[in-house]
Amino acid sequence: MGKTEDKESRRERALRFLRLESRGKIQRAILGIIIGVIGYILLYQLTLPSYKLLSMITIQFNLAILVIPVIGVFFGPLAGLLVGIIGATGGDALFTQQIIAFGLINLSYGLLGFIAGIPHYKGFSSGRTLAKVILFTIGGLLVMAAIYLVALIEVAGQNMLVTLLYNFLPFINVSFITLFLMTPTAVRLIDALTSYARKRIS
Amino acid sequence: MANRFATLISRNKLFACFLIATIVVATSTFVLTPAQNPNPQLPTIAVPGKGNFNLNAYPVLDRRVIGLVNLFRDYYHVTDLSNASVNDLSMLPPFFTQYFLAFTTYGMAMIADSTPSYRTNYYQDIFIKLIAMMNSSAMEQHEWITPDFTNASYAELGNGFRGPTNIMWTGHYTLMELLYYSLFRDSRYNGEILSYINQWNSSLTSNTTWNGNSSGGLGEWGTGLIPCEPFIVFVQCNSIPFYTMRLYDNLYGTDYQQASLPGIAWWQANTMDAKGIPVDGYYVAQPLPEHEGEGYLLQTYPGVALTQGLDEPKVSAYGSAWAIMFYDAMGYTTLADTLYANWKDAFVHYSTDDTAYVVESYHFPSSFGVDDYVANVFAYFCSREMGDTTLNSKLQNWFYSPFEGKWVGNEYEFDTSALGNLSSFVFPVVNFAWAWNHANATLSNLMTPRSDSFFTEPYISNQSTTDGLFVYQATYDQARGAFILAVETAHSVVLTFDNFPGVQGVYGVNGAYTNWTQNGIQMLLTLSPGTYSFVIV
Repeated sequence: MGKTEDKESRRERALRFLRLESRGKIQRAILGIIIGVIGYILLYQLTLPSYKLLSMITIQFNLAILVIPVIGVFFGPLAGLLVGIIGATGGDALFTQQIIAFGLINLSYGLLGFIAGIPHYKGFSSGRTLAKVILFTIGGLLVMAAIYLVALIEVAGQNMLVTLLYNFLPFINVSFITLFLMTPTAVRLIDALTSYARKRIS
Repeated sequence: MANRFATLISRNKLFACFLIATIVVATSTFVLTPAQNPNPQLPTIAVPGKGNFNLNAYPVLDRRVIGLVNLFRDYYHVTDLSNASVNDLSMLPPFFTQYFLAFTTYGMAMIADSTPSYRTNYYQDIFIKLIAMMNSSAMEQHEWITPDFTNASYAELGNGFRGPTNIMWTGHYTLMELLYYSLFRDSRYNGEILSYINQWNSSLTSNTTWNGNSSGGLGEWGTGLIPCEPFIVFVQCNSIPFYTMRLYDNLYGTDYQQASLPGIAWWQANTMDAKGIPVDGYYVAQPLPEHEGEGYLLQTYPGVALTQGLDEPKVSAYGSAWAIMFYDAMGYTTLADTLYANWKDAFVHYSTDDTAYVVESYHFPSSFGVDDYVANVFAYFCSREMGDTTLNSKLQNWFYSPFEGKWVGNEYEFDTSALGNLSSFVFPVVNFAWAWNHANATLSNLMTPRSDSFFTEPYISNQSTTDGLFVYQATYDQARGAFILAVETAHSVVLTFDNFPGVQGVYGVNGAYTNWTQNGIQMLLTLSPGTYSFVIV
């Protein structure tokens, strides 16, 4: 009896962690995944203006990557994970026909969304909550960056210097600028807009 | 109201900070992105009695390509053609120097071919300077004397910088001269061109080899190919004289290309590696001591060159990319397509979803040095020649990611200064490679030379200034009897058109343009600062 209860509570805990504890939450997560994948793919080809601060340091926003942690924050880690993997794979399939390192890089995109979605955020008007968003998003970025490096150097067999200079630095600096500055901004704005819309409807 | 705003901010301090930072950074990307001076919009122009001319249907040069030509004109002091000037190679890449001069000329030929009826000293001087630098004593010192290729043991075999064992130099030099003739019909180099082609023809059709054996129809070196250095033959190096012979045949109706056929069959039968790519070199005699040096296994000869440290044939991404694009341009499209597919499988690394790079040797996929860098330049050219826009775009994304393209006056350049000492090699290569890749013509186009009658058609023979002048389109439409011109000028300029008697009118989008005069067979068109699109009939 005790074991069964333990099993059930573990299952419930896991579902709660993934934000899938009720039919409504599951539907919400599916909606989040659909919105996220469509958003990621629509923004994939959008190139915003950029300039080089130094040769390898580019100042630019990448809106596609922003979608991943934002979905994770609002819809939970599973939604973030799937948006990252499906969005990155879909973007590659549609626009570049190239999957690198057996899809490990796309998995790393998923982990960004997964880690950003781990905490149960409450009240995005609180600076403490936004700080938590930043903390977990940058944590996700660090995991993503580590997998990205390992995938290119160890799995794809690229030269380390080439990978660092030509791939990793440009990728990490654009991603960091985008995620650090825009994730809390986007999350707060979306939260304010949805609250406003909810009030208007009710 | 002010209080409400203050309360709102105080309740959202962190959000406000990040929002402001986002706005500042986003604004900076818009403000600090270098201005790119877009290409002019090409209109449709109505000409009385001749109908509408859609200028988009005619070849056009990208403004940045002309900006890069302006950069190179200054960089090489093109207006100074003195002997001292042509012997100063200090601004050239310190290695692969002869290739850089040669391939710059080939790229310039594609660029000049994109505005075929603009034939002034603006382009011609660049060719003359590049050819003179290639023929300079400084180049001979750099490429032949310093590496000690004048070793006495090879002297009796016809060794020499301009001799039959140096197709690396004679091939490129002759093609540079022949392209100049083909584009401008200036015959100043014709004597040299024919003497080198005859030298190759003689060596390729000799009945005996250099050591007195029967050649078996494979010429002096027993391979149907000509060595670059004592005594190794390369497929890519021989693609240059073979292309030259075909272009010469197309210009003069000769049949020198026959001499190349045994060699082309020979290398396909004898130099392909396990991945279906021609190996990088085949020794026809004992290698020079430096090729048998430390780190190399014992080289057998005749036989394929070995990879340093391995009992494997030497392969080269840059050499094979070079060969593939020239064989494609020569019309061996099936062969080129097969080799290109093998080459991509062997050398291309897909770095991320939208970038790719190549490694010089698939035996060392994780190494990266100068040879690998050069391999990426040739891969960039080859993918363009092969019409592989997907790979070409990925290679460009990778190759140019560290460099920002920007305008400095009338010149466009990719800033490579952050690379410090490496910049002396990277700057000319990176800048020129972009211009080559964005010309309107290809090596295949250049293989079909302009007819003699083309040179009796109207063309721009002079401009009062090249400063701030951008000629985007200059093409004579023979079928409709109209000159298509798109031009931008920063100063007042007079363009001289030759072979253009009896001009009836100059028409732009706003109707007839009247600031021109007729002077015999010449027409002088005066332009104030501005951008113009004209149809001249």
